Parts: sequence; C-alpha cells; structure tokens
Amino acid sequence: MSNSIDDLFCEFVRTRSPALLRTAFLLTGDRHLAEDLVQDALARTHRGRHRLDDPGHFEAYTRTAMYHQHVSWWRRRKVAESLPGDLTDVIQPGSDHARRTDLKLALHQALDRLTRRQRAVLVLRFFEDRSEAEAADLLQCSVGTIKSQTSKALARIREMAPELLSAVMEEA
Amino acid sequence: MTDNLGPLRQAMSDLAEHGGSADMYERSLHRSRQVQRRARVATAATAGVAVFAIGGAVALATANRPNPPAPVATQAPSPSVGPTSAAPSVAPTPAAPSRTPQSPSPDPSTRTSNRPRYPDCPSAKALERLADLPKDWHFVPSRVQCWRNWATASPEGPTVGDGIYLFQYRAGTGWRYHSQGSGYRCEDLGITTGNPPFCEMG
Repeated sequence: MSNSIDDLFCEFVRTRSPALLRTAFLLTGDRHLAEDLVQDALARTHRGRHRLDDPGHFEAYTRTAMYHQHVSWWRRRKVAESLPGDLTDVIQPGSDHARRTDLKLALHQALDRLTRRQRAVLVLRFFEDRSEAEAADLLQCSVGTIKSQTSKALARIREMAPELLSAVMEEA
Repeated sequence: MTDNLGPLRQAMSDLAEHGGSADMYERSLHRSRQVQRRARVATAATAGVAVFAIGGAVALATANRPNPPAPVATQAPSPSVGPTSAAPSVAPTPAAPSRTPQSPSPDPSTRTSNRPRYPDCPSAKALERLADLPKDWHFVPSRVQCWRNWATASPEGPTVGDGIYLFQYRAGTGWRYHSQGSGYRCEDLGITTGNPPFCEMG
C-alpha cells in the first residue's frame, strides 16, 4: 500500500468534509454545531483508524459516529441562535427561488421542533435516501421504530409546515 | 391521498447547503489528540489512585497487624519444676513461647512493625503463683516492675519487709522465680549492659 493510513484519512477528510457538514447541519440546525459534530466524529474515526481494515469504511464509521453522537447527547450542547438570518437569501417575491427559500426556512424551523431521533430518521430517509432497514441498522433500533418515528415526524411537519408535504392530489 | 415528499427532499437538500465547507482535517486531528491526551491522563490518574489505595491499604494492614502472642505468666510455667516450684494451683502447659526475649533483635530495615523485644510484664497475681509467698502476703500490683526479661515485685504482708522478689523470663520456660533479696549486683545476675532498676552495675 503506497499511501499510509494517515494519508488516506487526510484525503478522506478533505474530500468528504462538505458532505458530512451538510448532513450535520440538518441534524443540528446550526453551522458551528455541525462543525463541532463532524469534528468529534472525525476525531473518533481518527482514533480508530488503525482498527478499520478498509479505508473505505471511514465514511460509514464517521456517519455512524455522527448520528450516535447527535442522538445521544448532542442536543444538550445546543445553543440558542437565530438561524433564519443566516439562511436568508436574496428573495425575489413570486419566483421559484423565493418559494424554495420559504420551504427551506419552514423546514429549518420544523426540524428544530422534532426530537433528536425523529430528526435523524428524517435526514437518513429523505436526505441520504437510506432504506428503513439501513436507517434501523445505523441507529441501532428496529425497523418498526424507524417507521413509527418517520410517521410521527412527518405528522408533526404536516402540522407545522404543511407546504413541505403537499399532497399528490393537490399537486395533480 | 399520499404525501408528496418531493418538496421535503428539495428543502432538505437546499437547507443542507448551509453546512458550509470548512476544512475539518486540522480540527479533527487536534480534537483526536486532545481526547487521547485526556484519556492518557485519566488512565494515569486512575492507575495512580489505584496504586496509592492498594499501597495505603497494605501499609495500614501491616501497621495494624496484631503482634504475635506475647508470653504471659500463666502460660510460662513448664512441667519441670525449678528450685522454687510454682504454686500447685498453676496448671502447667507444655506450650512454651517460641520466641526468646534475648534473641538478637531483627534488623531494623527488615522489621515491619514495632514488636516488643521483651515479654509483656506479668501481673502481680501471676507472679504470686510463681513465688512461694508466706500466708497473708501478696504482691502490690503497682510495685511490679519489669526490665527486659526481668521482673521485680515488692511483697506486702502483716509485717514490714524491705526485700523484693526477682523473676526471670527464659525462652522455653517462661517466667520463673529467680530469687529474693534487698539488693542485687547486676554482675551476679549476668547483666552487663543497661541500667536495671533492681541491681547496681559495676
């Protein structure tokens, strides 16, 4: 192997950090907290890098660490910050961009009111497009739990931001 | 009517873009080393506490270890009766102290406790059983004195006397009556060092 494990880890972090940060932002709702979450998960992967027989497992290991950390204790460190200001883009009323920004803000607020597990389940299912079995495996719970958590999370989003879940009939 | 999750997915994708693209390599490396350092410190501290606790417990146990049973007068008389026999009421016991008071003291560096080098001072009653006191005479408990393996007792009775009874402890036989008198020369008793209160040196 020409590259040492440290070189491979460095390459992994440099290339995959943005993707990890995107997921972490959805989980935490805050950029700084997302960076902290990714940093801790990467540090954990770094400490266990010699135990990973395949460098290709870096990402799976890091994502698992992220979800577990988030679900277990991350919320405790959450600081109250005003996020909508960070998310505000230049909106042109009536444009498609304006609608997407509205949806984005609505989602941000709705996610903030979900439980940690519900939020993680939504991110896994609808952002990472994981199957229910994969999500259950990653969060170390049953498929039934994933189903029920998804259902509850969608129900809450439907209450708080119905525009995010437009019905097929309405679209038609 | 089924939910259309397209807007939700789209919103998630848009929202995730706010995660930024910070370089996490140095930060994660720094964090990893910090955690490892803390783990090492915690491990060292735990080991130190454990060693300290075990060492303290061992030291405490050593310090509190009971002394070996000291020979007492009631165990001392041997079946063989000496020149001045013990009182008949004394039940002789074959068990003799295994430790001699005159044996060389252990090296201080190897001694683990402050064990007495000489036997415990016998009680007045115990000495009365060893001496053939006349009727109505007894030893005064406050006037029993011990020096190394010697013990003296002053008798008290119907008449006034100035003599003392002398007892000696020997390995194997325990406390035995030695003699009685009003004054002793240490040399006659084989004592050449120290400052015994019951005899005169030189």
